[in-house]
Amino acid sequence: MVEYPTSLNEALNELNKNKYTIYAGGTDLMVKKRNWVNLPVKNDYSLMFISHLKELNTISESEKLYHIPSCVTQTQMIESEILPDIFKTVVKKMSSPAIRNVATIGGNIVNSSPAGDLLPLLYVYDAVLILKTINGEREIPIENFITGAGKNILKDNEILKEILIPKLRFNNNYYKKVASRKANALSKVAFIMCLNIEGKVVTDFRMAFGAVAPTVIRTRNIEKDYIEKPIDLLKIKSEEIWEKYREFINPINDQRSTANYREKVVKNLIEYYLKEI
Amino acid sequence: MKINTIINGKNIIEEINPSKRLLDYLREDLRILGVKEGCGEGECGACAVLIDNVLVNSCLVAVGYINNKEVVTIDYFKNTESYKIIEESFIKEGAVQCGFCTPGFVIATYTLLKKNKSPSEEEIKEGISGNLCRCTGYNMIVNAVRRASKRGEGVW
Amino acid sequence: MHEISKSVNKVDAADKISGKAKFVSDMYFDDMLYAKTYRSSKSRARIKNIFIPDLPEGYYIIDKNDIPGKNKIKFIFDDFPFFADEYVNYIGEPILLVVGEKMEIIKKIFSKIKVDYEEITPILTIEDAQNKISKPIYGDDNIFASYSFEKGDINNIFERKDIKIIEDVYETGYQEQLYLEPQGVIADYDYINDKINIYGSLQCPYYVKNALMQAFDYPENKIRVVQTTTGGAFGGKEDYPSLIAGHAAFASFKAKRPVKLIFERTEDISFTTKRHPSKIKIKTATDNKNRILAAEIDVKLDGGAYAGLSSVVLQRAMFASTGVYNIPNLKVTGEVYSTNTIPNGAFRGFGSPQAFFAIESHMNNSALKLNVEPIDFKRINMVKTGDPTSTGGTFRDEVFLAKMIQKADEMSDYTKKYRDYASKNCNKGIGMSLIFHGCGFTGSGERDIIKAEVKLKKNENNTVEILIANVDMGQGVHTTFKKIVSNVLNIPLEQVIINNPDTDLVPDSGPTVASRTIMIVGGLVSKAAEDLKVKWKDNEETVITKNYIQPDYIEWDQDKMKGDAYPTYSWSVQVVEIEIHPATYEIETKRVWSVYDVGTVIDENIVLGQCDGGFAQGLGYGIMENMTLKEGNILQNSVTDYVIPSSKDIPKMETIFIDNPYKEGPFGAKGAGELPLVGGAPAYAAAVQNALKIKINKVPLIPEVIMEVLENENKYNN
Repeated sequence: MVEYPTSLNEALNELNKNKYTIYAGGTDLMVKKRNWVNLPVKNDYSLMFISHLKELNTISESEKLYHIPSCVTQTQMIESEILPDIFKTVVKKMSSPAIRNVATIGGNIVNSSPAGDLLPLLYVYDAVLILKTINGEREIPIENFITGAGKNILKDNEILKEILIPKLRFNNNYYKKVASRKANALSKVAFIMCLNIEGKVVTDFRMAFGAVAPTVIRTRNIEKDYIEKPIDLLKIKSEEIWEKYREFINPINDQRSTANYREKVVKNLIEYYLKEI
Repeated sequence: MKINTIINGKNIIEEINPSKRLLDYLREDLRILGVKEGCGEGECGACAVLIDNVLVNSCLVAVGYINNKEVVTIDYFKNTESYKIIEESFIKEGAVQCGFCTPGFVIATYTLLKKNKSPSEEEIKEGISGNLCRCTGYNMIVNAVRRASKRGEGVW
Repeated sequence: MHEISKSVNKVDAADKISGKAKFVSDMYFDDMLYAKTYRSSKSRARIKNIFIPDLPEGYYIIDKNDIPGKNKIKFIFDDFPFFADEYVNYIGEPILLVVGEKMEIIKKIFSKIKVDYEEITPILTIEDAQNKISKPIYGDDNIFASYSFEKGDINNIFERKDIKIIEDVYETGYQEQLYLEPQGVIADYDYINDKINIYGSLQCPYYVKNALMQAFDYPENKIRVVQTTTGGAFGGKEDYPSLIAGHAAFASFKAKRPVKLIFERTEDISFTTKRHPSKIKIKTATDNKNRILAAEIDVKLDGGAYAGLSSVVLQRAMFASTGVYNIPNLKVTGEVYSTNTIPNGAFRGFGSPQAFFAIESHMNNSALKLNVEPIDFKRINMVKTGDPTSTGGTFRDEVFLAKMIQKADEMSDYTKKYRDYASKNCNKGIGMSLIFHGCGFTGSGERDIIKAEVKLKKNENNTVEILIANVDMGQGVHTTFKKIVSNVLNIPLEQVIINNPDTDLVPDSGPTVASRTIMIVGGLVSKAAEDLKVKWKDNEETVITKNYIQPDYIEWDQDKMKGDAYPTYSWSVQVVEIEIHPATYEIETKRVWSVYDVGTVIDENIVLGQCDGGFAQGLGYGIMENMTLKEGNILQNSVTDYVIPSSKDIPKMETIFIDNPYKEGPFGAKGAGELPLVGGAPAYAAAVQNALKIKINKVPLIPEVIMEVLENENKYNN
């Protein structure tokens, strides 16, 4: 078993031969697979550590894209001079400094939790994932990658290598994480809205919700109706927009919150933030 | 898996089960006991250590991760000048009650001040937001961090 | 400021900051074994059969058959077994222990154990218990204890036509102590001397010792209990450690090796004692001058599966049920029920938080209904010096409520802000709570039950050692007690010694509970030091013993519940200012102001630390800490899901102290440990009411609850 590959190639080669549990930052894995105190973690297969691989570590940009390799940590994202502010806004509300120091963007994506904090942002930005095996790469839009709560299409011999973020232009960004306390808490509801307004016209409008369905809710068909239209029109349409999203919002009752609350809050947030514009 | 690591200044090369928790490796195998287990879920920060001088919750680290890295716990950190400033500040501001969370706060304070030597009240609270305390209500800890930031001019 | 109030460096701070201080999980003995508790997965059942796999050499099963004496933990009642006998009564009830050297093997053995249950319909709520939906768990009627007391004639008043009757029900939920250090003990059976040694994270070494004496049927000199540095307790380590000390002791006794039993966090949250949930009904009659002439109050608590401390929690809740108000005609009844859920126990406040939330909310709700400002309504009815207490005792020591309200108003600008927020829809609110806490044990508990004894040992080298059974659990006992002795004897702090109590070395000065440690035990130690001062001889050894003598003025009839329930009271006025997010109903605490009367402050930093920390727990109780059960299972059983405040949830707190020395307390000190928690939830309830103009009947006021109340209000109005 090669738990500590020295290059991405070696890792991919190994993954092609044996089954491994990939360990990037480890912060989700070590909780999910927790064992009794003093006993090793209950991973299904041998661990393979990848966050040290230099191919997976450094944020860069090209003309039209931001390139975020999968093992970039949340702290790196906050400290990046390249990424837009809305990314920092979202990441700063995640977990805690100690967890952000090792947790990775790749881990948040592959964990595919309904409450994954980076996901609504990545959906709004049309993020594309580069999945790599020893045989080659494929590029998958994030909304096709995650298929359900905790489910995605990553193959056993595949690693999430990089996330491509189009350099979109938004001049109005709104983000709200609703959680049980101000720090270090899992989302009950997440809301993100990004707009570009030129003069009084909406040239781009995107909205996404997290933690209120098995996967992130973003519906381009709904957004379409308000693009190339006056901003003043959009601002008064919260009731209409809510009615359109209603069929997709499917929150649950759990130990953190109730379905009723989550649903009501989504409605309220749409109204609240449209007024804020 | 063979790991090559430096723990509290000592180089260790050892064949080890990489799935072992770093927290258990430190406490049970190496009897480094300043690191505490408060929750086992990475929520309370009592197990905080420095890995390559970065704040990390050791209950969330599988020991294979520290290969080629350096780990420092409170047990070693307490010999540094930074520690002395933080210690004096915590004592003077009454920031220690039961003490179980305190080593974790000390490590978090160090990494905060290293990055931001003059943090605002909000920045202090953010810097220690991953450390839970049930005894103090945090105000006196925030005061201690502020005091350490002032007292440590030139060090941070 | 009194000289003694000046803050000193806490004597144990340096060791704690450096990680040098040893907690029980940091202790290792040669040949030590580990233990894990196997627990019931059913709320209520008869155990038909237990299948135990073959055990490898050096691994043991410890169960009810390994108890030499009584399989009952010595508490107030005699119903709580160490290990389940034939029946289990809550999910998590200990059935047996698996003990051995390696955790992996203990885990393997665990996975092979099988228990056959014959399920019985569980009683899961107070209503279930009242309706006797199944065979009673305790007695005939599922009531662990019920009490009542009255004064005046309420019927006379309620029948009048010229009064306004306001009646409502108030509910509070569970609260988990969440001390950062999980429960743990090590038992070391010295088989050569046939003596059991216990090391543990605990508040009451003698409680544990007495429990083990009964469990082993052993005399005093064969049980030794040593408190280890304790990482927080808040009442959660008052009675519970006796249970696990027993477990570890039986194991060590059988294996003849030391046994370490440390809880995992989820285990701790799921299976140790919690704050009693409550349902309190209050009916008041108010005259046209807004004077409350009569009140009828019923307190119902959910005790869980075994009685534990429930009867005493109920008593304190009942005595506190009228709050700081002078109500001349009164009837108070109370019951604590048994249910097939986690046995509940002590948590800072011990019945007061429940009672004060109810009465303060009733006052706020009444003010809303009567169209008068809450603070005016409260002022008309609040007690003054010399007024009677709820049980017909007297508030003998000066009551500074009016002055404290005035100071709180000045600090916070409460009146102006209250009116401003009340007059518009702005999602901002400010709320004030008025609280007292009875210091010490109820009535003649100190005299008849505890009978505290302290010792001071002056050594030949002129150091003085304080020998008491009370523990430092973070509240600074080691520092404050050293200060008391050093100040009386006029010797440097360094010349005074105090260690974690070892029952072989210290007398029984009583438990570290009920806000009694400084006031009662510190008072005794102070008196002992004064004796020592007179008897002081350089370079000679002297031992001074002092026993508690109850002040003459305390008269208490336990049967009728009449007289002075407490020797004295500490007081607080707390103000919180909040802002509620209009879309999410999340509460942000903007500022907190508190005024306290705790007598003389023995150390400013230490007492301030208690105030800050207590308030944070009160905030949690009021708006954040939510614990719900589903079919007897606690749903929020991790630190991720049971949410306590983080640094970002607490704003700056401003606190001042009123100087009001209590003549029986050391240097004038009264109790301060529990009081700071009690005012939080009522102040938040008042603030939410100010902001949203709704009636508040329930805590915690998590956003989901606020939304529910708003929706119901809308429905009612429509």
